[in-house]
Amino acid sequence: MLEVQNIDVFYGDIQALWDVSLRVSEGEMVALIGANGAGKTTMVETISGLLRSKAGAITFNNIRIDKKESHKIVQMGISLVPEEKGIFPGMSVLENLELGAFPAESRKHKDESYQSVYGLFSVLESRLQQSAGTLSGGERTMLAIGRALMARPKLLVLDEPSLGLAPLVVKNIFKVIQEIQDSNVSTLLVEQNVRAALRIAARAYIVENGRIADHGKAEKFLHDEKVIEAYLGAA
Amino acid sequence: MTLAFITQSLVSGINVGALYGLTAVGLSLVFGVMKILNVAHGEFIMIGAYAGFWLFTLLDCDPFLGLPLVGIALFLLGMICYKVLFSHVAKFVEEVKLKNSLLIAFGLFLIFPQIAQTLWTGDERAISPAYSGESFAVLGIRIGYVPLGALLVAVVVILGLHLLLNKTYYGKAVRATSENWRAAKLMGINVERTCYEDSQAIFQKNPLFSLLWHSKLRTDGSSLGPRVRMGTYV
Repeated sequence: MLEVQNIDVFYGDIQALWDVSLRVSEGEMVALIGANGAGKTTMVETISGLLRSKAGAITFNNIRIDKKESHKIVQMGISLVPEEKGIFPGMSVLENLELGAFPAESRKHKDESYQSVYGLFSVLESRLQQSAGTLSGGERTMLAIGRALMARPKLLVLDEPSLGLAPLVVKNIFKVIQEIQDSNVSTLLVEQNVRAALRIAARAYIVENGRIADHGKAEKFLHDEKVIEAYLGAA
Repeated sequence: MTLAFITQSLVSGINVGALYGLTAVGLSLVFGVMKILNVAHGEFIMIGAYAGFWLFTLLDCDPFLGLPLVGIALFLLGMICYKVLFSHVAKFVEEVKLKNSLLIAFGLFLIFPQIAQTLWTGDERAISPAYSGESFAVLGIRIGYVPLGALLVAVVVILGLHLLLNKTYYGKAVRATSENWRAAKLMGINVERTCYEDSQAIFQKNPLFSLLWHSKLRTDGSSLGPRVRMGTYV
């Protein structure tokens, strides 16, 4: 479904990604794990068209997307929930969700989408008229994920959804991510919370210094001593 | 006597305030959504005022009825300015964009009055239809026809804009773009086009302000820009 082939990405003259390749299949959940500054966010921002690759290709359902504008990529079915969440603080929760369904195709199914988002995050439904800037960190994350789902994406890209949240909230968010995955949306999950990510993902890529250091079944890494030592701390 | 004086001042104040408000709406929309600080906002208004003036003087066109025509003219001017000058800086990050657009706008701010002065001299001009300067009395307070017309137009336009921004999908996209440009892109909003259309909407509204200002101030043409601008920033 999503195929990233040998991309190099630069910030000005500084190279951030070297020869990165990865793949997400239909209905699959893939985790990207690695230390801070390894290049995980750079990868997903390049997939979403916020950054441009200098070399290599990105295809989505066999169509090249690496030269396309972000809004076109969203229309094709890839939604990114960015690390900083990017909610519109001065607008109401409802307006935020509504804007999630901005692409013409998603707009047609808006009412259905509201219901499925409320089903996942009931707390949002009780706050519809509240301005998004007044939400707590956990609620913001829920809003950002809900808003991305309003576009009815084929591939949902989550950049550190658990960042800065209390353990109980994280548990809830992961439960919902699992539910989204069960509804047959493919997911690319960037996480620092490695153990949780590896538990729900089918496959994982280990990112180190802008390169893919290893990839394989998530389960394998969960029992890999080297990975556990590097990212999970001594078990 | 004193009460009448205060009330009269209040009425006049509301009139002037509405015009400044209307002008500021355009400036802040362009700034908020496009991150372009158009210091030449007043100059565009000045050009609109001249357009209204010539329509009236040469073609005997009523300034209020001529608004749509002036609107189209300034829409085109705005489009050309954006395409030729501002669109090149639109791709930069916010801070760089702001600085560069400021430079361009300052350029326009210096050039436009000079062009106007060369073409149309620095003489004071006024649009003076039959009803200009006329007024009617309400409980001893004089209310001018032109200021009242201007006030009504200002109120209608601001309300209309408010509805557009709050009730339509397009308006919400404009607000989203102004709140978080990057996130708006991730919603599938074509930020570039939103900016562009927004700028058009603003440039198109400019002549409105111009004519209203013109009829209000009966100002000398080419120095109208700075005067309007100072007030608007405040």
